[in-house]
Amino acid sequence: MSDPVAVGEMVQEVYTELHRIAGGYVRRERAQSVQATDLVHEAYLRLARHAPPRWESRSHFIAIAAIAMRRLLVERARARGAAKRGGVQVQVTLHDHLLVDSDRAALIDLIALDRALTDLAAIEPEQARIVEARYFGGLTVEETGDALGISPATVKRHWVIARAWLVRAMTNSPES
Amino acid sequence: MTPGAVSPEDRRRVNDLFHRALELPAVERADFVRRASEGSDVVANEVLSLLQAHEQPDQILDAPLSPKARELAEAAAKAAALVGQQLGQYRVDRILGQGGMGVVYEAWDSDLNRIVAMKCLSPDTTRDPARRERLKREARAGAAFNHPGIATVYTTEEFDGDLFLVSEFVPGETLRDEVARGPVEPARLLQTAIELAQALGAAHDHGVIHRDLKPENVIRMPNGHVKILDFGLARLRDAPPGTQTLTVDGQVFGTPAYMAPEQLRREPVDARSDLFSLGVMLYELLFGEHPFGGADPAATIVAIVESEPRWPRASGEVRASGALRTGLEEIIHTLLRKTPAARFRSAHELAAALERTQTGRAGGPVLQPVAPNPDALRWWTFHQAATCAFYVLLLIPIGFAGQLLGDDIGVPLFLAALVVVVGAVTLRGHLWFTANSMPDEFDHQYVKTARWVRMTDWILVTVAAGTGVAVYRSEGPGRVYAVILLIGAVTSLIASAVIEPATSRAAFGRKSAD
Repeated sequence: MSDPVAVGEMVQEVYTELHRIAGGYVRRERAQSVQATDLVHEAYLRLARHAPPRWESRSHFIAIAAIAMRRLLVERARARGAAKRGGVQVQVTLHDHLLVDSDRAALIDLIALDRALTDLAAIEPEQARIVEARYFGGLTVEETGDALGISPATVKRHWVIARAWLVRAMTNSPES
Repeated sequence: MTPGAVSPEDRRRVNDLFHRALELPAVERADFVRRASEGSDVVANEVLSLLQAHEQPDQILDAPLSPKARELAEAAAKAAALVGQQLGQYRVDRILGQGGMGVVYEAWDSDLNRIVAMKCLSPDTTRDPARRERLKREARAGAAFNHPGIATVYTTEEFDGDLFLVSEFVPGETLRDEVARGPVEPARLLQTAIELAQALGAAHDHGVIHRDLKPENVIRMPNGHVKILDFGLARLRDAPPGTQTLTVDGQVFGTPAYMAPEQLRREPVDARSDLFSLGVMLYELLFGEHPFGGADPAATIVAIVESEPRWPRASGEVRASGALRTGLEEIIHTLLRKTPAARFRSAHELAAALERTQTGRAGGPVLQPVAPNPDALRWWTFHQAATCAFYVLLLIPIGFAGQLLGDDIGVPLFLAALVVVVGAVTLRGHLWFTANSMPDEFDHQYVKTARWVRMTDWILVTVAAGTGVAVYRSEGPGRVYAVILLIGAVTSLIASAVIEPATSRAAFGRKSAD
């Protein structure tokens, strides 16, 4: 069983590191053809390289990697938005389809979701972490429970209410 | 509603009421919430609004955003799990990073007491037994080849179904890290360029083309020298024959930003494609930016194929190292030409030009003009002219034979032959003109037209042979025409399949297009 406190500490560290990685990639990507899968793969490997003694199970690692995924995708969405506002024609989605299938990507305002998730984390950190693990990491209910050290039943309960919370936040979002 | 409006204590009640309400039939929920919230409007409203959101169909959160993410995370976890393990004689010490076709580890070879780099080739690459064998064979071929500028491949190993490529461990940082720090001094860059050109030359002499040369694949060692990684491996990632996509098993091969135009157009690749990639790298090291960098990857690819590189204006400060910089710029310019024939003929020629610049003996043209071999060029021209004349003459027996076969068959047959001959002659005329007036363009034009020339040849061979066979059965002079046409067909076939490629190769030093 993971210690939730340790996970929290690590999450902070991972956030800082990933923010750096994601920023670097977005810059690099502008001139070169870097595939989203490669970015994520590399970011995950960095995590795997730095973290070994700090994560105990596979699902624990995937839950942490999910945070990487969220950061990377949101940074990319932001960079795209910034480039659009700057009048530059961008089409960065070229290689994203391997990560997120394009029909779905078109429906998702990742930046709004990220903002809502950050707000949720301020009041219900555990719920936000569950969403991250399940939505960005693709973990099942059981794996999420294992990764975060809580029972599957709790994961399910939290997920239902977190989902409602996020749906409401995004529908009321002033920009959508 | 702002998140802060509900106190932590109320939140617990909200969560609790929300779940209890969900257990009730939908129609009873609102009443239940109002009753159970014990007069707290804040709690009641929050629960009701969440319940309402819960009812909303939602296409976003119902499935994980990226099914691939999990797969990648599992792969990384698996990679990490290998660290600390003993695989045969190798003790895996740490993850070095992600290489071209898999994760690279640093390991200790306890049999030979040396550090090695072990690349665990991704299952995508090795699932197919034929490719697996090819990979091993390539690795063996690479192991036979040694050069100080190229990371030596030692062997391949199999552990638990995974195929590992064991090679020399090269300490240092990649040129990617160097590019990230900004432009490199011309004098230092020149030395680096010479080492890379010599290493490429040695490999090309062995018939190995890199195909995926980029800053990530070159390591600057602590002693300042450079080594190229992953030689010849890119070929193994190419799509199997017959598939014309950029991906194999969902894996995109390599980084198009360093590929030569002919590579991006999926035309034949040779040693000169490596020279183009080297040019992009040297440009990036000299100026600190990509020569074709567009707003996004697609724009970069288009720019490589169609646009000239940008040349930043030299500022006052860089003029200090004037001669070296100018020399380098000129060489890079030559490397970045769209047509392979307009680049250097070989990495050795490039190395020589770089050395001339280094010792200040530059001054003449960077590129010795690529003069076609004049003798061979004469033969090539003769062959083209003879073929054209022969084709025109071939129309005569086809015409006569057509008459014997009757207007129904003869006229369309003759017209078809006429069209094909006009096409063949026009294409050859175009090539002849290019060879004489724009030799730099010849390569490109040859590649573009070769298939059509070949096609006209073969259609004509088919028409002549078919007419010959058909007319053989008719009376009188039919037999004579038949013999003439069959001889003509055989001659054309030999000329197209054997003589033409040979004269082209002799005159322009290039292989036939396919």
